[in-house]
Amino acid sequence: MINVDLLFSIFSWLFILYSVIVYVGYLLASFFSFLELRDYKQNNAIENEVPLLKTSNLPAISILAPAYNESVTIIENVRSLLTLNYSAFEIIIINDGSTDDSLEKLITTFQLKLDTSPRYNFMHTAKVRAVYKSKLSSFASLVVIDKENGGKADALNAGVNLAKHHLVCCIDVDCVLEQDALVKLVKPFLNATKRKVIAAGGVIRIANSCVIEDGKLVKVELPKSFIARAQLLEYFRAFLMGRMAWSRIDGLLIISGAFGMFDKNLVIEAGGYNTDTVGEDMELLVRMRKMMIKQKIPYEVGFIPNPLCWTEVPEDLTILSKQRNRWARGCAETLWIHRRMLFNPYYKTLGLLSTPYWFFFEWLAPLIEFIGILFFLYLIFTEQVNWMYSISFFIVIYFLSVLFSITAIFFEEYSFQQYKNVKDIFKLILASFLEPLCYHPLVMWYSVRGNIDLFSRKKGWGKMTRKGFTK
Amino acid sequence: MKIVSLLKELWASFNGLPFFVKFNITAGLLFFFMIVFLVFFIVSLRYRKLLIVVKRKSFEKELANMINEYLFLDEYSEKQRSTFITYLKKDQLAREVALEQFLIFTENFTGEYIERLKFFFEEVGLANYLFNVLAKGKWVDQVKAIHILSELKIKNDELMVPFLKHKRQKIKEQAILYFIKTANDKPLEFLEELTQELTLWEQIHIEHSLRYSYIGEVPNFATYINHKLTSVSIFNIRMIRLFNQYESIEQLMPKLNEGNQAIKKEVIRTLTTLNVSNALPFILQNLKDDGFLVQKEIIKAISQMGDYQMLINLNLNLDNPYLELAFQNAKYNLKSTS
Repeated sequence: MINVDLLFSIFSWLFILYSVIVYVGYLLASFFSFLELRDYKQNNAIENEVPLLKTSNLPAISILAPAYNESVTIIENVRSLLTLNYSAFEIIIINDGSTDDSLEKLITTFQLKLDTSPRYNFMHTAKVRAVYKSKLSSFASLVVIDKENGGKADALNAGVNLAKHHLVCCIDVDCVLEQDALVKLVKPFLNATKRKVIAAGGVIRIANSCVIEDGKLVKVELPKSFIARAQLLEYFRAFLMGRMAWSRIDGLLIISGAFGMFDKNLVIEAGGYNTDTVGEDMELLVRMRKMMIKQKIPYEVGFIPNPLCWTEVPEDLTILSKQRNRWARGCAETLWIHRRMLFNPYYKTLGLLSTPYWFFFEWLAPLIEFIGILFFLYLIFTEQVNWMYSISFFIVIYFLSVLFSITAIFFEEYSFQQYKNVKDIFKLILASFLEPLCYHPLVMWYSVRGNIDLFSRKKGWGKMTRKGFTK
Repeated sequence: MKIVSLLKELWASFNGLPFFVKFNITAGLLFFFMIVFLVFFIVSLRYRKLLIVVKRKSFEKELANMINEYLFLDEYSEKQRSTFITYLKKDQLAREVALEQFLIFTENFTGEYIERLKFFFEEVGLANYLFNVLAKGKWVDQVKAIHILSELKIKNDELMVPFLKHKRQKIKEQAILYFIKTANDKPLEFLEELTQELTLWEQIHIEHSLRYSYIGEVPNFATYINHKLTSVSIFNIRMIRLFNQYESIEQLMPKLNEGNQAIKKEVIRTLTTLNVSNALPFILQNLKDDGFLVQKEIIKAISQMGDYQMLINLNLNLDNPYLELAFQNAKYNLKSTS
């Protein structure tokens, strides 16, 4: 027979310890995010980006966009990329063994022809069948790689191999970039002084319900469905609070795969994207940072809080479950690959703060929560629940979750206020109250499933079906 | 009295609760009140912003009218002037909007009107206000102040020089631009004062100011190619290329013996762009000792100014994959053009 009182006591103390750590972490995150956002706003108070578009000194960028069966939207997306405000860039579309007519569409629309110029494989990838360039001078910056299927990481490596320029910007081909996204994201590289900038990332915003015409964002709207709104809150928390704070203390471990810029030579030196993990974006940055620390080269990772990249989040639970499953596996795999960094003072902030945080609060948290729920169910079935304890625990957790979301809304309001309508603020506040009850348990379960799949050796990305933006 | 006794009762029951429950209730209440406070704060922040937008629009309209009156009315009265000054004293937002309006007017007018605007700006005390900010304001306001003064070309070099060495990059950047935008000649004289390397961002803005804001004679960039700061030297070599200063080639040639590889690379690139084909033998003279970045630049120079045979004769050690790729590309291009 389980000694319930003892278990309650242990559980309660652990809970208090955990909540104190979470609360302190949350306070610190808010504080550092606030400082970072304030500094960013102050530093950019009179920023003039026109000179960047008129100079010949701007570093050229290679945009890498892997595509797998994107036939429906690929032409519109490439057209949108071609109109980005930047003086020198090439777009490399990597057709990763699509089984639809993506390649044929690209060849016909952009009048592509085979390119036989020399190539060098800095990194091994699945076989590249052909490289195409346009016959038309108006699409001279477009390159299409046709290769056998090898997954997103492999496709990106093929793109890095072929990239002409020193900076590579890796994007998801179905994302909508702001017209000045490249100009803004390149800034950390331009402002580098004594420390080498190895990568820069930006905030990813949610495009569901927004008005998008010809691949360009025309009007920002609050997502109509609750599930997308809940994800909006998650993104606020993750980007405006989490990553801004990590950026402040130089502890950023991830640059979103949807939009990030890297020093190409360092990516190659680090060995490129890891094809054995589904969390290739996080894993690459961790490996690059590790490499710089080992080489004792002063470096930094830039982070731009402006909304630069808009993406559609899943509104269908099946697709959401696959996405979260993949994120959970990616996180666990990266932590496992770099387990030696955990609590290792050699890696300073990364070893002592970032990796422990990811271990306890990103990877372990859903598992702890799940075990907690199982334990609670056991107590209910055995009629051993102390309802006074349980309800008081529930109240404190619930309000802490809501507070966290409301603080994230404050940061949105303080920084870039994309949702101008006062009604939208109230809708977001309402979503903050509902999210812990109606949405969070789902994503917790999807993360648990991700871990189960990881241990049962299930791999793969899972199909991500999008509704599409075209109006 | 009833409430007091009720509260006392509640307090007594609370005290009777187990520790963990007490802890949770306290934390829960704390979080709840923080939520209420934040919600109130967010909503008031939004309303405040909306109000500011309305107020700003009204200020913009009124201040633009007042500046227009000054510029275009034949008889501008003392009363109108003092109304303007009083208006500026209304609140900080009015002053901010006024400064913005002056910038907009400066962008849209030239010649005599600019002089009148400057005069008016000084007369209503805005120039003095900005000088005060420079003397003892916050760094963010100092950045804005330098920006406005340089756009309006209001000079006070003595006050500005120390900002060239400021530890805040943004202040240093604006001070640099100030010296270019307000210069009548020798716009790069300030470079001698610099003690910190220029970032690429600053270089781009200097280039832009030289091309689009500075109206004097184009400076001789070769004057600064031996500057103690590498970035300054590189910037000026780039500008020789951009402004096609062929007369500087003679001064560039000795820089081919430069030990600093970044400078040497820039020199080769400039000689290539200016198509100084007779520089090729000098470019090649230390090939074996050069680093791979310089060697890569040399390959590019040959593919533009040399021929296929010259490239093959280089006899380079192609251990470095980047170098090998550059070599193969040059070979491919020269073959296809010959």
